[in-house]
Amino acid sequence: MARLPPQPAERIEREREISFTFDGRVVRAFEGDTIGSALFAAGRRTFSRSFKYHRRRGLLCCSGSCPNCLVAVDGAPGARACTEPARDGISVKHLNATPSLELDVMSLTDAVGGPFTPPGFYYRTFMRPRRLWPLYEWVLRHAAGLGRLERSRSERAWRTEYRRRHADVLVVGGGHAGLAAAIAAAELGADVVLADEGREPGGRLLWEGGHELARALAERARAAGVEVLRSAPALAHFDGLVPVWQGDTLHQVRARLHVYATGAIEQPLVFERNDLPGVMLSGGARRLAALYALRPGERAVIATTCDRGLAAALALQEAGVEIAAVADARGAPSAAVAELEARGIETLQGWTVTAAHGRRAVTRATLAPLASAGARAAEASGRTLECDLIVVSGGDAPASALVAQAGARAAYDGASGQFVLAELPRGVFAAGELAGDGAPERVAASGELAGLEAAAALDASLADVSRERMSLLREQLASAHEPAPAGAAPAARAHDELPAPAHDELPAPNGARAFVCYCEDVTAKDIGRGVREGYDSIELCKRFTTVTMGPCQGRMCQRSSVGLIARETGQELDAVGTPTARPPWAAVPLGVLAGRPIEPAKRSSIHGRHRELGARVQWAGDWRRAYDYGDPEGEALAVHASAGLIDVSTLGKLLVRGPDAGEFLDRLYTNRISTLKPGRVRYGVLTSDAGRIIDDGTIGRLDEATFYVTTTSSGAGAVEQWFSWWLADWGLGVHLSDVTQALAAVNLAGPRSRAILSRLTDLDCAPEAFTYLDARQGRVAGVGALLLRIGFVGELGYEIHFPAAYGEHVWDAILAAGEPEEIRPFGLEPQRILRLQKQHILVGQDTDSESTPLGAALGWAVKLDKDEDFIGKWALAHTAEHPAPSALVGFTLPDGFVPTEGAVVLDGSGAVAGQVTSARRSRQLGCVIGMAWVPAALAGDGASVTIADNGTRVSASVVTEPFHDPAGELLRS
Amino acid sequence: MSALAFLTPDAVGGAPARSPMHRLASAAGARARERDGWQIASGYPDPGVERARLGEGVAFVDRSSLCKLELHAGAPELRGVVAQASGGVRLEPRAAARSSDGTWWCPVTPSRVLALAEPGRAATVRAAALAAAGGPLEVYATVVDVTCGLAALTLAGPLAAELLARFCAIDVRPEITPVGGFRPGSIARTPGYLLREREDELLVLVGWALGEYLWTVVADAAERLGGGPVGADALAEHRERAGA
Amino acid sequence: MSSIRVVSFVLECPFCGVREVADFAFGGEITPRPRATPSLRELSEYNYFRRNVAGVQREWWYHRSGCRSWFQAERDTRTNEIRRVGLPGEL
Repeated sequence: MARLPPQPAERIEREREISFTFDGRVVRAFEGDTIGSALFAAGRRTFSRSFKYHRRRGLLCCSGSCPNCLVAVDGAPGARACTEPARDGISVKHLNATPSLELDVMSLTDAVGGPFTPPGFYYRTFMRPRRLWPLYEWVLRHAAGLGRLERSRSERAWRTEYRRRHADVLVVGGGHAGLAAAIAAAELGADVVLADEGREPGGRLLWEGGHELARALAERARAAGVEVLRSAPALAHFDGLVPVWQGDTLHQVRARLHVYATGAIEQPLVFERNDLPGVMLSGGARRLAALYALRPGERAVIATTCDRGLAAALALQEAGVEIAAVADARGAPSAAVAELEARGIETLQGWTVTAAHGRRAVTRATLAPLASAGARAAEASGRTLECDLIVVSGGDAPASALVAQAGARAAYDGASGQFVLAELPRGVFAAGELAGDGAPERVAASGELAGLEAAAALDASLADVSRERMSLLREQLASAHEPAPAGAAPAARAHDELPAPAHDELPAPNGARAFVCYCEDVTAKDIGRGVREGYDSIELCKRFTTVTMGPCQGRMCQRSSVGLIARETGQELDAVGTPTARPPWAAVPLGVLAGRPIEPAKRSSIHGRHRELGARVQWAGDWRRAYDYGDPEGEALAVHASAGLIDVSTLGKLLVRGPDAGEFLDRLYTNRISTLKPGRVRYGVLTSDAGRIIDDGTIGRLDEATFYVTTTSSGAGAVEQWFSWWLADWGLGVHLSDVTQALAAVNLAGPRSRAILSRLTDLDCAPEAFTYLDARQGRVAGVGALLLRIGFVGELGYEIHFPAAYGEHVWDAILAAGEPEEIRPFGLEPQRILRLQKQHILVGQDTDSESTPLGAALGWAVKLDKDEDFIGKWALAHTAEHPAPSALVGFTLPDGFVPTEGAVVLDGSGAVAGQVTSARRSRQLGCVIGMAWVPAALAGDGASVTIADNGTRVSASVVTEPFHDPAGELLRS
Repeated sequence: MSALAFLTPDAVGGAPARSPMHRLASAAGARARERDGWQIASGYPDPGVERARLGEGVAFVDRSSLCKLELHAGAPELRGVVAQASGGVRLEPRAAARSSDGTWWCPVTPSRVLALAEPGRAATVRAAALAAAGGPLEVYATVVDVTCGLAALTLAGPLAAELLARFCAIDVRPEITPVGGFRPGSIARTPGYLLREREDELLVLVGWALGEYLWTVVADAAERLGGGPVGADALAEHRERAGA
Repeated sequence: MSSIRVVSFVLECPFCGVREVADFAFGGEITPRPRATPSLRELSEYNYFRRNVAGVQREWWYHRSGCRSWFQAERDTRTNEIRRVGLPGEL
């Protein structure tokens, strides 16, 4: 289709041709075209097939609001052709039609399914027989949805980004009012962000003859330092945080003040076959002509309830469209009508459109007087006109969703026939059409005032500067609400000067093809049915019919659905209200919300070495850890036979220092810490005031005032939080410092570990000089270190803690020094075998949130005879008087079957009476060992318990002492 | 204070201290040099690219070798300890102050201060802090060497704040966070500290074990903005140029 | 800072200032620990019972991602409005 001659505001660059493909065919376009405008220029009228009935849909709004032109661009579904820029070489494909847009087999649902597929049909129809549900589900799932995601895309093929932006003022909406607000605030020095959905700011100025003003304002805004985000819809208002989606970036804008100038959304009319391609909103038709130099049709019928339609008639006539007739639903004569008549355009006052006709696209339209708008009456009194375009304008609905999310309340205003803002929350301002000030003579003042008010709220001194200006603007706005002088040209007139017909004056379409909701194919009849079935409030009817819940988010259907419900229920519009405005306001790809995949991973400073040694690395809490180096059982054996080295840098490490440090720890641990001598280490358990185990670890006393506390790897954060909480409450003289990540730690263990360590340190490692549970400081491989002689794995061993910057150096040095002994690195898994042989519990593995130390065989670490109070003492004292029904014990099984952790323990009657918490095969012991919670009566050595695991039952023998080195002679050697 | 000596990275016998990011820096082409006991990423293959990143785009520099000391004491005592150790620095809430040798004294809370010193000054600053803290028991102050507790990156260049905004919600607009502004808070979803060292330099610190992770996040975001890593030498030159 | 009122997304640490709420850990209602050995009933109430008011509640917060300090806040549980924040003993 040939373009119109150059239009003053056109966006296309005629000298720059590009091309892309649509469903494999080449489409020519100009730089500046959208996919939609290029396809329209190429003659395409059907852009998509509808969600349910697979009806043809064509361009309707041309502003990215309606769902009619959804396409997939380069494999990503969900783009709106009417706003998505045409780029050279892209591949565009249709959605929701098989095999093609022109021949869609699923359109059979439209031909035969209509009467059988009312809202909710799938809930009822597919109820029985129940056994067929999986088949129904498969069919429905394949029929539903609008597009398909490509299954194989590399993670980074389409990456998205969050961008945090703090600002003084966020202006949402870059039309005349929004630009004026942004300029006013920024010129007073505020830091302003302006987010606009359009490709360039200006809003309707751009296609209604004000493009030069729009560009001048945009330039002035930039000069004032406004950050203008284009093609950037705001998605929501979350208590001050506004996500703004722009391409592959999600701006998370946190402004102190918000100006909403989101404008209004032109509403369609509901009539029979109102979804036929060729039915277009007046704004859409004007955008095609003004921005893309396209004639939206050859011959048009215009149906309107406001001056917008009349202005469109003039504009389209100028673009060379023949205007067959204009039906203005308002009975009273508008000043604009005279202008139309002067141009030879027939205007029918008190008439509206009742039906569109045509197979693939509009060929005729039926117009009828309002009073007779029933189908039969229309036939009698109406007129049917040849046309290929029906331009409709059902008035404007303020785009109030975002400002409502910000806390604004709307109320119905009978005079304008609209829901208008009745109350704005503190710090939120509204301007322009949204605030009812969209008329050209008011819009600039309204925007400027909002900008100045925002600046004044920001800083009282700015209020002084602009006080006079603000009162002038307020006066101007007040006087502008008076009727405008007669005779003004329609284009320059407010669109809402004549009262729109009330909703109950408009025709009552009840046909099965009068669509209220284009997204989900909800018809006027469906709404009526919903109300009659009892879904008679807007929120219920919305959920039942899914009206307002589609990709347009209610932009196209809110007004008409509220009106229809009001009519069906006999209520006033304000009694019906509007459905809650929920995020997101614009359809957004989930990937944009997900942002970049970044997952904090802690790595020991030795981690690189583990990888080089072939470690199997797995998550352990928020750490990446070496589980084993390929041979867990062999690694465990090496610790018994000679020596092993494990990275235990993940242990939590806290410094507790101060005059009250001993008392502080006494109050937190169940045993005594203050009696510990400098240079010694003690095991300790932390419990809650309910007496439940929180964590365990060792406490070393470095000097009179300084304690070095280790925690479990996963408990480090919680213990620091726990300690600092009580410190905040008690206010003791204690300094707490978390040095978990500052120190690397390794455990050198095994009978040969002393010999290996001696080669690396000048410390006296002789058994009598450095005994079990000693803490010593010295250099290891030249690095200052704290050495704790403790034995989690049950052999002679040293935990060496040293600055993390030397992790690899010390690790390498120990492995090199131990080469003659065939030292082996061992991972987390062999450590678990080794500790299980000693029945050393793992908090969180062998205990849960109900476990007490008394039940978990840690009674020896609970000193109820401590004079001082400690956290958990009261509850533990009570528990001690009432023996626990179950206890944690060790068990052995013959070598072979290893029960799953979590397998149940049965009592004599076969009832579940406990569970297995740990189980491993031990090559050292030649059998399977484990720990389990068993009934107290069975908690003695030699008792036999039955373990049931997925149908397998085995009899295990209870052992309450460590399986390996029960007397601890090796540890102390 | 000898009880906490094992936290200080001062190995004898030539073992160099290494940043948690040293492997990623090497993989990105960094030259490793030994300075002040640390293995430093001194530069990258193309100095022109380094200059351009710092001057026109955005760069990040591994600063993990900074000496970091945590000073604990009651609020009134801590003021005295900091004043003595720094040669007269007085701290206001949320604002770090620089002593004449370039060391930053950053108030975390009224009873906790983080000192940041160049590695070459580490021994001197540590000794001064220990001396100031080593008063009688009533003044009880604690100095903890957390040099190896915090990995550090400087984000530098005109787009430094833009880079930060990709992974951190802290408001660093100059009027909110001027030079010296010190902001503990979440960085790349992990606990951290932020210090504006210069107009175009943001220093971020997170846990040492998260150093590799931080590098990955920052490098990924910087790539988008046309930025990347630069060496310590390029940053020093850039500072000289800016200072001149 | 007075314009920042709602806890859903920001909270003011007495030391660090305003931060995203994800920076913080919630510590629950302030429930004073019994001073002397409590009866079993008192102990159970302290351990397990919460007032859960619809109204202004005093509660603990921890600036986990920042200065790692505990502080207290008065929050209206119906609106999430924070009335005051302070250190223990200040409210």
